Amino acid sequence: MTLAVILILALGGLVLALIAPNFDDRPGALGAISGTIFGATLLLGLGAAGETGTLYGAIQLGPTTALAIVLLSLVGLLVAAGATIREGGFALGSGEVHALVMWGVLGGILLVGSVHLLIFYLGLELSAYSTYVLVGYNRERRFGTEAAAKYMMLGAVGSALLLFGMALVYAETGSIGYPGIALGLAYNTTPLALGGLALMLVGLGFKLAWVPFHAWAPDAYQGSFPLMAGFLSVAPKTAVALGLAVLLSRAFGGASSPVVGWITGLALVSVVLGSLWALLQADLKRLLAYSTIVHMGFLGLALATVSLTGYVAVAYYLLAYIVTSLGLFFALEALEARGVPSTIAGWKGLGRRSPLVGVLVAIFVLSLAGVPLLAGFLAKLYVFAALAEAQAWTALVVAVVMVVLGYYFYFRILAAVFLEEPGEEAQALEISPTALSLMVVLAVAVIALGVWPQSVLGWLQQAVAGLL
Amino acid sequence: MSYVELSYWIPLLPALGFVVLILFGRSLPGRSSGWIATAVMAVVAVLSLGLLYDVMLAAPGWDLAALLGGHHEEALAKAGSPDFPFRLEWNWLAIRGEAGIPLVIYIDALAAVVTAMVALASLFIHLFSVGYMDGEERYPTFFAYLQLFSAAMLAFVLAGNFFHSLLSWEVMGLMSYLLIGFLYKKKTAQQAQKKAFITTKLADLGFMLGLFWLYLLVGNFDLADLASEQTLAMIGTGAAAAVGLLVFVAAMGKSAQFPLHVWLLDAMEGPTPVSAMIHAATMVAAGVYLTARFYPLLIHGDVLWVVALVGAFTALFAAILAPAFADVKKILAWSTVSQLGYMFLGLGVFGWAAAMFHLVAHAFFKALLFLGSGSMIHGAKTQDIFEMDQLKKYMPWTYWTFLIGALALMGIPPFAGFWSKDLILHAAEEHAKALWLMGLTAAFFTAFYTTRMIVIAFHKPAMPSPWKAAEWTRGAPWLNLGPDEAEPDPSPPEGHHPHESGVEMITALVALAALSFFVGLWGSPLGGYGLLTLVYWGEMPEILPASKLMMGYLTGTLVALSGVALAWFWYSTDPLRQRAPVWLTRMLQRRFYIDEFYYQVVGRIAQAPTYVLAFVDRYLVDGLVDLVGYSTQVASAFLRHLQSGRFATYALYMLLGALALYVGGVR
Repeated sequence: MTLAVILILALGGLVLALIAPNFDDRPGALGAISGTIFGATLLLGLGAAGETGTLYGAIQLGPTTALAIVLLSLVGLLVAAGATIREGGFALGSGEVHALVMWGVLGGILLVGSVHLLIFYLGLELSAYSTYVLVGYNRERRFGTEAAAKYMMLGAVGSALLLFGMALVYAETGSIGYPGIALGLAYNTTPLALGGLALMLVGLGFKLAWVPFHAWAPDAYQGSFPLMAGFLSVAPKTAVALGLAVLLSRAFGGASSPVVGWITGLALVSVVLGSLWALLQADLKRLLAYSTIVHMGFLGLALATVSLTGYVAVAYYLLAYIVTSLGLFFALEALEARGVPSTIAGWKGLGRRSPLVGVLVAIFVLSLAGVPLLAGFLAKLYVFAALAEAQAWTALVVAVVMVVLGYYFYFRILAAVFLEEPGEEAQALEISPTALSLMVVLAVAVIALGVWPQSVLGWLQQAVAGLL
Repeated sequence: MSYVELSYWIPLLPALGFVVLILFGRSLPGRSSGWIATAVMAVVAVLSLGLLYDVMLAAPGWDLAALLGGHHEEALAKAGSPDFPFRLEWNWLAIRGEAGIPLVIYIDALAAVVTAMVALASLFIHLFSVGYMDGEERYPTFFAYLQLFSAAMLAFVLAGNFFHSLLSWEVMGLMSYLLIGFLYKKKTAQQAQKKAFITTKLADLGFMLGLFWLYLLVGNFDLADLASEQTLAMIGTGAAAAVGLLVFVAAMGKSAQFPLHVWLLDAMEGPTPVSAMIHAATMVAAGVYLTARFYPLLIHGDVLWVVALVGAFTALFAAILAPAFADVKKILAWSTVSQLGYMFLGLGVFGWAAAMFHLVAHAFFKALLFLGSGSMIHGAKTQDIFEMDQLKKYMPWTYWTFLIGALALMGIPPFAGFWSKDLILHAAEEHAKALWLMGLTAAFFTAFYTTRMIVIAFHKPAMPSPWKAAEWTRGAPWLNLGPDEAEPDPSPPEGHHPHESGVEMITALVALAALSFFVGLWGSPLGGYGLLTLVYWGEMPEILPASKLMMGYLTGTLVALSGVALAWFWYSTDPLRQRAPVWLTRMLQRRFYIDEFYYQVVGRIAQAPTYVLAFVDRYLVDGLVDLVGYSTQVASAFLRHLQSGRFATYALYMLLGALALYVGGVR
């Protein structure tokens, strides 16, 4: 089934790219095709959890790969639906968006499932290239092009460092297969191998936007369409976080690896600095970029515990972040399509102009902040539980303090939405019914995940248990 | 699908109604928000009546003859169905398989009866408000508040877990605060809402302390579990007494028992339907209900006598104060305090089922009386009974329905209050003669002030209010407001003639009058004590043999009639004649100076440490907090410079990061 998923996504992207020009005036049809494909792969992914063995010695079959398929297909499905929010589609054509999203998802699945560094790198680049294009999709705005160029060049630096790191690891261990690397590293960690691991982590930290490799994120978010920023905030993150968990367990030697300490350090720096940066942001997309950095920091803390609780926390965090973040970016997309600028000042009195949108936005923002009964709260709670279980008290204290700091900048959004009066020229808002229904579905998911997480948790636990 | 499985909709529907109305109420035209709220309550009322029906089918039945003969062991005529009391349970706050605090709906006969009472009473209060609040500036907001208030009370009654009782209890506290101060531009309303909130909040501390202590003792918050013998065996008598009394303090606050009664009278600053809501259907009933739920613990700790004493004293105290007032709502407020005293007296002397009967009966007739008074105020444009002009002539519907409520309050057969109050007095006579005498005296005063109110307001033409002119009635010292700060109540405009109220208000009055009458019959011997045997749980010997009952009924009726006769004799001839010395009237109107004592003495004493704390807070805590906030902002502003937007800088960060990792790893 994993093979079927890979083939469907690769060919589906190709077909979509080829037929796209004929559908420029009917973006909804493309969204429907793309959504159907992702729906199919999501179902296949659910069935793929029972598979065993490897595919051509390159892709590991089993629950972890299935988890990646399910989560990433979910992202693809939502983004495909979200691409129809703007009536008339994107000025540069919509078909390519779907194709690129599909290949981005495919790359993500490959990098999680791979059992050696070559496929890992190819998957990473496949997903990276589609995001470069997606960020630059807003070509009519100077900002968009600039952001894409910057993002791509920094991405090239990141990839170069990653490749160099892989080369060093290969030079020391004599293998690019995960088991071989694990074996080679187990005997001795030479300075050269250490350098290789450090460089690899830089490349991966770049994708996860950990400080100090994060600098591209605020510019890229600000320059792109909210929908693309939303995709950027969840799809590469999900893939790389799971991929890193796999690498950590199968290649780097688990809890005893020096990588674990580095991850903790990077994650802590990201949580603290990201929160501080976010405090004074006036642009919502920039603010959400820093919010992503903070969230990836929390996720990194759980990842570095290398425990079952920690990995379940990572998986749940990703799921919660997908539904929450995409919900908020859909709101941004729908509002930008109605001419509401994505700034805190632009959102003043939004709750007055459209109460329903106000409430939905509030649900997503509160979930990001981590307010009880919402998915974001449980996600953080499981991270804290993992930290407490691993007796990482410093990290726990820092994380909890930063949650409080986080309330400050998230509540700034809500204060603007509900407590401030709309400007004079503002009238009641009617946003696209597609966006509204998507947001309602996601809000319900946020609440449902926060109130009844049991069954989902059980499934996630099965999916990650194999990594330990 | 049975009504039991649907029961969670009972609190949920009005809560959803609140959300909808608070968000979209302002965009709804005219009175539609009121009608939506009323429709929601109508559905809730149907659901709760269905629930009551299901419970009546499933509850155990008792043989009346055996019960009356005092043979409780043989009295079980029909065993209850095995799944009774019903219990719906959902996991909540459970992390990876731990127990957490399950969300429980617990439906026994008492819960079902009280749920039905709350739902019906608040349905008619909603209906009444549709007309009464017409033209009010924040009309939709008012209904949104009413909805959440009802939702909180219903959730409180159905909660099977004391933790959730506490949550809904607090929501009720908040909603009472918001509703009492609904006319927020009035200074007296602002003071009154604060007074109510602070008094009840102070008492709520007892609930929290008692609850958490209880949790330490037994390890859960389960309501049904508290009644089981194993649980009680885990609690020492002393601890049970302490926990019971702590919770009782909270009940005293919510149900306005002496010495925490002070807030209730001033809560009349809210619109009249709010008074009906707070003083009949929801808030005050919650305290009695809570005490009834902690009954096993109170018996175990042997502290029921405290409950009885507080109840009897409050009943008498409030009944003595009521005749000194001229404001119809305040007279009714005192009567509420007094009647709640009866309920606690009943609970305290093992008259559990009788007290519950009085709770339900009182809820209906007091809602009726308050809504009736609302109709009177609406028609007469004044709250002062002396200024009301022969309302009997102008407002016949209001008069006759109000009379039914008043007869029930006075305890004249065959109206509701007669049956329920006399059962409480019987139980008191069995256990404590002194308390019984206090109760009887209170009954006399009740009949007296009720008759006074009716004669002056409905039968007599308007006359100048005897106390409005007196210098010493200026201001509101009981609210800590000076003569200039409190506006006197408005008098009706010159030449105003009262008029009957609109059709939805009258409908509500008639419905409540009928309900109060039939609920009274349902619990009376004529109805085979139906209500009592339904909630009866097989321990409380409050149902007495017929011979003793007749004596009690006779005494009760005579006492009530003598009160009526005295009031009629005095007030039908010359209502304005001052019969009590002025110092006594003044003392009664100033409520024995208890409120002022609280403000001046207790308030001052409580304030003393706050000066020290204020100093520490201003200079130490605030300083630290400001420092943290300031340094964070400085750091944030500094960090912004790192985000230069230049590619080379960013690439440099990456390389430096890689270097830092490497150095960290080697070391």
